Amino acid sequence: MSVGNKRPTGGQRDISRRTVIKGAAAGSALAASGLFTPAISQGRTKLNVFTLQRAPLQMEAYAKMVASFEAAHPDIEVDMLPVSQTDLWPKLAASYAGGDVPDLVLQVTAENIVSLYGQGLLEPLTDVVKEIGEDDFEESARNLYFDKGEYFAVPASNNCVSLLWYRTDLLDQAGLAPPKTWSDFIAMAKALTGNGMYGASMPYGQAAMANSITWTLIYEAGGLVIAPDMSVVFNDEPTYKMLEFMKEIHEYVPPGANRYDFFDVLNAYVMGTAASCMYTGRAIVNVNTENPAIADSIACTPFPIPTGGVPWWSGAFEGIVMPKAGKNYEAAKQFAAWNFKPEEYIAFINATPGHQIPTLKSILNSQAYRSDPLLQKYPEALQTTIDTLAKANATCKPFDDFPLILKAGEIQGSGIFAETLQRVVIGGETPQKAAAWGQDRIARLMRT
Amino acid sequence: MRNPVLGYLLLAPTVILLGVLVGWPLIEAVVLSFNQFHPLTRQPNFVGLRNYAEILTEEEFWNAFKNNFIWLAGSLVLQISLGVALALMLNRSFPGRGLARTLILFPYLLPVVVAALIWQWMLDPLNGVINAGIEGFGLPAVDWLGEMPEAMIAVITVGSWRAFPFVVIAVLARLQSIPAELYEAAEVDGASAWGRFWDVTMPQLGNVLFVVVLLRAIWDFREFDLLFLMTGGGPLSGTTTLPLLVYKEAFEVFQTGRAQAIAVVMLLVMAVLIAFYFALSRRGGTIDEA
Repeated sequence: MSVGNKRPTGGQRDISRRTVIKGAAAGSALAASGLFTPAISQGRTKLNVFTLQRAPLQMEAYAKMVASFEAAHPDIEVDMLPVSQTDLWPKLAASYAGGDVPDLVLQVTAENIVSLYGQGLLEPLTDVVKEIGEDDFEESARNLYFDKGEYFAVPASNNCVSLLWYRTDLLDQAGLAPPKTWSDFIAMAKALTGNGMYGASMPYGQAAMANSITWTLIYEAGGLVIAPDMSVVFNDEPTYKMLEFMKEIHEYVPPGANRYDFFDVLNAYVMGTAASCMYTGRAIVNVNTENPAIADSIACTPFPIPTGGVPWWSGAFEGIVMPKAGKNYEAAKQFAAWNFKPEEYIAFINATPGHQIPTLKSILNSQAYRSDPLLQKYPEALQTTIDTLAKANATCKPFDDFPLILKAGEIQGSGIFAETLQRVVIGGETPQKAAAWGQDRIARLMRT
Repeated sequence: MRNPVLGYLLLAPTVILLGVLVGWPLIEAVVLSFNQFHPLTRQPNFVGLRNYAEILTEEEFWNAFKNNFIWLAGSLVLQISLGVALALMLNRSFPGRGLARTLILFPYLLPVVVAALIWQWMLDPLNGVINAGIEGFGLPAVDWLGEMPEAMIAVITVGSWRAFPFVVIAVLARLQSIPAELYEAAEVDGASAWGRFWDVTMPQLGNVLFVVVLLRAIWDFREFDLLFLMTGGGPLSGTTTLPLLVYKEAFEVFQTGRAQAIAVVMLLVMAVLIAFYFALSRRGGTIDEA
């Protein structure tokens, strides 16, 4: 069993040129003979697994899950590699190019799952969903990954980045209520900025979070990026509105926000630099472990929507997928199903209490899940997250009757959204000019 | 009597090895640059010269091209001037010189990811030591990596900081082998310190500086990791150089053929620059004729 990056275990020693040559010759002979297959070592099937949730506590939970799985399946070895959202596509591309494709990828967000499916790169996992219990999955998550009679992913969990975390003490002092509209949010951020405090923490870096939330804000403004007929409609009024909003709120974010990604956005709030931030329930565990001084002054609300906008919130709908070029389908399916064994599942979900919400109804409503001390401490925040997710959609299928946007992962990973945003906020371009640039780039991407 | 066949046979393994290691990837890159394919599905679709036509008519390519030369020129000027100056200092006798010569290597030995993290921390607009110093003088804090041209200035500075020890080592080695008689003769002739530097030291450093500039130019022209780690090419595309554009095209917008085309153009530009540099140096007598 191994979890995380491997490190050399031995000390350095001198190796003679002869030893190197002997080793190379032996290796070549083994490779040529076909006796050595990377996926099978010492008679055990080796599973290469990527995970996109990789906080230290989550990796600890995975280590336990892997240990229990290996104990029950002595013929299978699981090698877990944490991968960041930003690195997913480069890592997958390198894996495919090197012929060493992961057997499973855990906690992939919906946009990327749909894109992998659109490229024809996923094996169905219908039997895994049925083994776990089809009816136990939350319907919107389950339906998202069902197409042509098969499940192309197992919905593993959900998280809601469409939340605004705020400081109750600071809002009380300023006599403000939690914001419900973008205008309220800007007014709140303005009122709370000063004396070393910044009103909001939002992402402006060329990284995953700015790319991710752009969809959400455009949908909230009543727009789309891709129309149901798959034409590009990015260059439109709602996009301009979103860009203007992000430019206005930029005046109240900490210096350095031009490079903020997920971690930085949350960290500014957790460390008390910003009075609010857009983030998932991960704020709960991070505040309690890193800055408990403000732990009694945090709360969340669904992310504000523009006046006259659409009450649209996004869920990540993380899933487990099995790439087609993997080498060990059966073992991979066994490990995929093992993720949902109640003890392992709850341990992983509650490694970051409130950040990820179970997609299994039996777990969501169980005492075992809800008895986590931090979830007990913040029942309102948990309920806000669950309620918001109940109304949430995936950005790659913004409405129930909308077709899957099969290039959503490529669009989101392209950096086009973040660069459009930076063109307005840093470069001073008009929203119209920046959106026209973005439209052109997305259209090019859709053509490939 | 010489046997030419035997000679070719003896050369053959080397030629084949070089062909496989250098020629094959190069040919592969050129061939792929005439195709379009997704990095995951890897099904090439022949598009002829379209990739080249597109990149050469797009703002992004020329912006990256310009950034590449700003980065290259800035880095070379800073690291060579800093490296030569420090080598001259370390060539003089002073207490602790041995320790200073050892410590000077530190930036060069540091892994790039560590260097990038250290500098990002030092340049942090809220908590960084550099801004603390600036604010100590009553000046406003600077968002070093989030604004332009500050980001380019920052990466050039950090890049030069990492690379200057290489210049120091090379120049110092040459300085130690310059015969003392040349300086003595210059002094007897009444040359000033500046005169001795310009008329004795610099001509003696010509060959080594030629090699140093050539190597550093090649390495800096294709620098990827430091820029990627420090700024990711941003803000906007202010520090996006050609290698970063190759990465973006291949792994962010999945235009692998275009990425290959940019890489091929980079190679051609480098080849032209090196040829020009050699010609210029020969004409100026910077390098000795063998």
